[in-house]
Amino acid sequence: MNNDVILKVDGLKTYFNTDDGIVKAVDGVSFELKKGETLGLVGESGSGKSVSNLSIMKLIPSPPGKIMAGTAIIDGKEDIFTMTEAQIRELRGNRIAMIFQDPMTSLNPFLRISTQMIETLVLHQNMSKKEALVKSIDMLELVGIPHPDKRVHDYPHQFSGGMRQRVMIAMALSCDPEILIADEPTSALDVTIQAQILELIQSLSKRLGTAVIMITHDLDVVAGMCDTVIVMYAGRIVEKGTNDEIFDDPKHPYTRGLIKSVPRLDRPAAGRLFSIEGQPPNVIDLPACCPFHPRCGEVMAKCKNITPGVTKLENGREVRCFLYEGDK
Amino acid sequence: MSDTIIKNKDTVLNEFDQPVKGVSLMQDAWRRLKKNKMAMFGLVTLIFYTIISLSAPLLPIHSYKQQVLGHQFLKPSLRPAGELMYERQDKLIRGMAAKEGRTELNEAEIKKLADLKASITTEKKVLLNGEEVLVHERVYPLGTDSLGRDLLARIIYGGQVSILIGLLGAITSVLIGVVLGALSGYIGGTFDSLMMHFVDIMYSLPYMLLVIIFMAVFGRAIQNLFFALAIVSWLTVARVVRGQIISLKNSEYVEAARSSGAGTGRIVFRHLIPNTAGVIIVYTTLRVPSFIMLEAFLSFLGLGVQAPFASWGVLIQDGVYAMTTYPWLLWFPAAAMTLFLFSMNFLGDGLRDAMDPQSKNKL
Amino acid sequence: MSKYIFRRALGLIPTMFIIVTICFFFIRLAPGGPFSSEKKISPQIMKNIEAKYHLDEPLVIQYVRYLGDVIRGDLGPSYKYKDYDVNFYISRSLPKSILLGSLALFFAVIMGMGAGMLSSLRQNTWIDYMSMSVAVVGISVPLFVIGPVLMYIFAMQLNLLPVSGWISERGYSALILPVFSLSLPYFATIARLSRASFLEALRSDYVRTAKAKGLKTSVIMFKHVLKGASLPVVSYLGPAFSGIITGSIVIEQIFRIPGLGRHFVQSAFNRDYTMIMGTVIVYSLFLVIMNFVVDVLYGYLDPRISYK
Repeated sequence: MNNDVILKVDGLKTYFNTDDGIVKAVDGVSFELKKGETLGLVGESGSGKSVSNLSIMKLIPSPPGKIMAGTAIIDGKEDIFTMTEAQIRELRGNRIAMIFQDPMTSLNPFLRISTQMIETLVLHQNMSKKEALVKSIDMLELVGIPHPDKRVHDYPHQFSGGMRQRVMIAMALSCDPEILIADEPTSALDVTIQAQILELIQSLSKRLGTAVIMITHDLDVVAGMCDTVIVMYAGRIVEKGTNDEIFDDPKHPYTRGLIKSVPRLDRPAAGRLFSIEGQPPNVIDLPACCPFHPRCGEVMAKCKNITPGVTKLENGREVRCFLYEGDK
Repeated sequence: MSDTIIKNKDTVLNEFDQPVKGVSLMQDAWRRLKKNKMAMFGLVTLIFYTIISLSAPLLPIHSYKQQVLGHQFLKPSLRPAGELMYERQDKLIRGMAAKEGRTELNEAEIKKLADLKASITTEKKVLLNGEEVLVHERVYPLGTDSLGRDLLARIIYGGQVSILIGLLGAITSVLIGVVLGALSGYIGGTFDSLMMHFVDIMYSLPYMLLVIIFMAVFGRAIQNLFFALAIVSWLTVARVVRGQIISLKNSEYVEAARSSGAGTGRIVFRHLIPNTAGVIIVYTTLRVPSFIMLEAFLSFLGLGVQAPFASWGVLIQDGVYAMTTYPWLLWFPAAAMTLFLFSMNFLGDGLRDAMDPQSKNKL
Repeated sequence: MSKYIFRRALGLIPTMFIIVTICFFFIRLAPGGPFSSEKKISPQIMKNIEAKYHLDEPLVIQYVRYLGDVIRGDLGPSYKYKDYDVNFYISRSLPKSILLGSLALFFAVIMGMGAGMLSSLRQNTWIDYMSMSVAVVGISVPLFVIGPVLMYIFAMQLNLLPVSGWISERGYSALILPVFSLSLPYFATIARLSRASFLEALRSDYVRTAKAKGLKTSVIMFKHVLKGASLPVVSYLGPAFSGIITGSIVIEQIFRIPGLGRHFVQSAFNRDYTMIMGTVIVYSLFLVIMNFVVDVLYGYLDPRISYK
C-alpha cells in the first residue's frame, strides 16, 4: 500500500509472566515507520516503550516474556514474528540495529573494541577480518573518535561514557541498517555529551538514510529531532502525531501534562513548574478503565469503568481519550 | 491524591482495585521462602531432627553405650534380638554340620541350641541405669554394631553431637568473623590492611592440615576439636562482612543518612547491621553443614569425637570398615547425615534466594 | 604484565617463610616429644637420640638449622622410620597424590563448567534440574560417604572396578573411583558457580548487544560469555585446590592409595614431627603456587585489572 513504510507494527502485545501475575507490558501497540524518518517514542519508565522495540527484535527474555499477538512487517514483505531464528539473526545488526541506554555495560568489557566491531561486519557483510578492521576504523573516525587506528584495539573501560556511546553508534551503523533503534541513548550520559550524541545520530541517519526509532522519556530530545511522535502510557499508545502537531496542539491530557512539565526558556516563567501528580499504574490485572484516570485533570465518570478506544483525527492523528470521541 | 481504600484487614487496594503489597523486607523474604518447596522441606526436616535430638532422653530407645554380649552385628529387624541370635546360631551350626557331611545335628549341637533358646527367654541384664530387663527381647530396628550397641540410639545421640558441633561452630565462627570483619571494614586504614594481610596468609595455609596436626598433637577432646575448627573458619565470614560493610559504608543511602546528620552509632545500628543481617543469616545456615562435615571428616580419620561418644562421622567410619559384610552399618548413619546436610543446604539456598533483594526485581 | 608476575612471584617467598615458621613453633608447642611414647628408654639413650636429632640445642638454633635445611631442599630425617629421610617418603608418595588431585581438579573444572553452561542455557528444563541435583548431592554428601558407597556399588557388588590399590597393581581402572569421588564436590560447586555466573552474563547488557548484532548462541556463549563467566570459577580454584588436598587425604585412606595424604595422617598419629612439617611444607608450596597461578590467570582474563 505504502512503499515508504519500512516497518509496520500492528496490534503488538507482549506479556510477562511473573510471580505476582501477568504483566501486560505492551498491550496492543500499532505504528508505522517510514523510510528515513525519525520516530520518537515517549513515555515514563514502565510504559512499555523499550519492551515494544525489544519485541520487534525478538529480544524479549523468554521466559518470562512472550509476544502474545501482533505482526511486524518489514519492508512490506515479511513478518518478523513468524521468521525462523536464523532469519531473525540475519536481520539483527544488519537491517535493524540497536543502541542501548548504558554504554558502560552494553559493550563487552572482556573483548577489544576491534573484536566486537569486526564480528558484526564479518557476519553480515562477507568481509575478511582485514577489511572489517579497516571499515571499523572508518566508522570510528566517522563518529568522531580521535586516533581510531590505535583506539580500535583498546578495551571498553579505556573509553569515557560518551566515547563508548560513539563506539556503540559506530558499531550499530557499520552494516548500513535500514532501521536504527536507539533506546534512551543519552540517559546515562552527561548533559553536555547528550547533545553531541543526539546530533551525531541525527546527522548520520540523515546521511545514511536510516530510519530511527528514538525511545526516550525526555521531551526535549523528541522535539529536537523527531518527525513523528508517539506517546505511550501503561503499555498503550495514547497519542500519535507529527512533531508540530504534538507540541503545538497536544490532545491527550497526559501529553499536555508532559509538555507543561518541561521548563521553557522561550516563555516567561509562570510560577511553579507543572507536574503530573501520582504514579503510573501497575499493569497486572488492570481493570477496564482509562489507566490515566487517577491522574487526569479532566476525568469523567466513564473513564473509571470503560477503556477508551483509539480515536482517529484528521491527518492520521490518533488519540486514546473520551474527550475526542465525538469529534469523529 | 491517590485514594487508597482499606477493603479488609489484610489487603490494601489502590485506585485500580489492585492489592498493594507489603514492603517489609523480612515479610517479603518469608513469602518467597514459603514458595520454595525444597527450602520448606529442608526447614521441616530440620525441625524434625531438632525435636528428635532434644527429646532423645525421653524417647523409647536403648542406651547408646550399653554393650550386649551376643548382640554384635544383628541385622536391622523389627523382631526381638533373641530370635535373630538363635537363627544366626542355628544357621551357623547347620552350616558346619553340612560341611562335615551330616544332615542331622549331633547331641552337643542340639544341646547348645536348646541352651541358647532357654537363655533367650530367661537371661536378664542390669542396664546402666540400674534397671533389670529381659535383654534378648529388645528390638533393634536399625541393627547393632560390632559391640552389640543399638545403631538407632547411636545415630540419634551421634546426631546430637554432630548437630551441636555444627551449630556452635557456625555461630562461633560467624560471631568472630562478623566482629572482626565489621571492625576491619568500618575502621579501615592500618587496622584493616593488617587484618586482611593476616587473613590472606591464613588463606594460603592448608589449614585443615593444621587442624589435623592440632588434634593429633593436643589430644582428641571435643573442646579441642571445637577450638581448632573455630579458629580457622572465621576467615571467610570476616572477608564477606568486611566487603559488605565497605560497600554499604560508601553506598548512597548511608551517605544520605550521614548528610542528614545521623551519628556513627545510628548509622551502624539502623543502617549497616540490618542490611548485613540477611547475608549473615544465610551464611550461618550454610556454615552449619560445612562444620558438620569438618567434624565428620576429623572423626573419620580417627581424630574427632572419642568413645563412648559418637558422632555421625564416627559411625560412618565404623560403617566403612564393616561395609563388606554388614553394609547397614554404613547406610543408616550415612543416610541420616546426608539427609540433614541436604536439608540445611536447601534451606540455606532458599534463604539466600529469598533474602537477596536483587532477585526481586529481575523481570 | 611480566613485571607484575615477577613481583608477585617474589612475594611468595615471605609467605612460605611464615608458613615454615608457624609450622615449626606450632609443633614444638605440643606436649610430649616424638620419643616420649616409646617405652622406658634409659636417660642415656634418650640423650643420645636427642643429640642425634639436635633436640638438645636451644629452640632458636634448631629453628635456624631447620630453616637452612629447608632452603637447601632437605626436609630432614624421619623420627619414626630410621632408614630413610623425609625427602625419600615424599618423593615416593607425592607423584601419586599429584596425579590423583590434578585429574580430579581437571575433571571437576571441565565437567562443572560444561554442566553450568548447559544449565544456564536450558534454564528450568530437565537438563538444568538433573545437573543441579547432581550438584546438590555433590555438595551435601561428604567424600567419606561418596567414596565407600561408590566402592560398594561398583567394586564390591558389580565387580566392575578394583576395590582399592594403585595403577602399579591394578592398572589405570584403579584411578576411576578415587578420581571421580574426589572430583564430585568440586564439580558440584563449580557447576553451581558457573551456572549462576553464566546466567548473570546471559542477562547482561553486553549479551543483549551481542544478540542485537545477530550473533549465534554458540558464538555468544564461547566468545562473549565464557571469559567473564569463568572469572568466579577461576577465583574458586584456590579454595578448590586446598579442598582437593584435604579431600585426597580421605580418598587415599578409603581407597588405600599410598600417597602423601596417607603419610601425613600416619605421621600425625606417630608424632613424626619432621615428617609432619615436611608434608605441610610441600602441601603449602603447592597451594601458594596454585594461588599465584590463579591470580595471574585472573589478571589475564579480566582486562580491567591493571598491573601496578
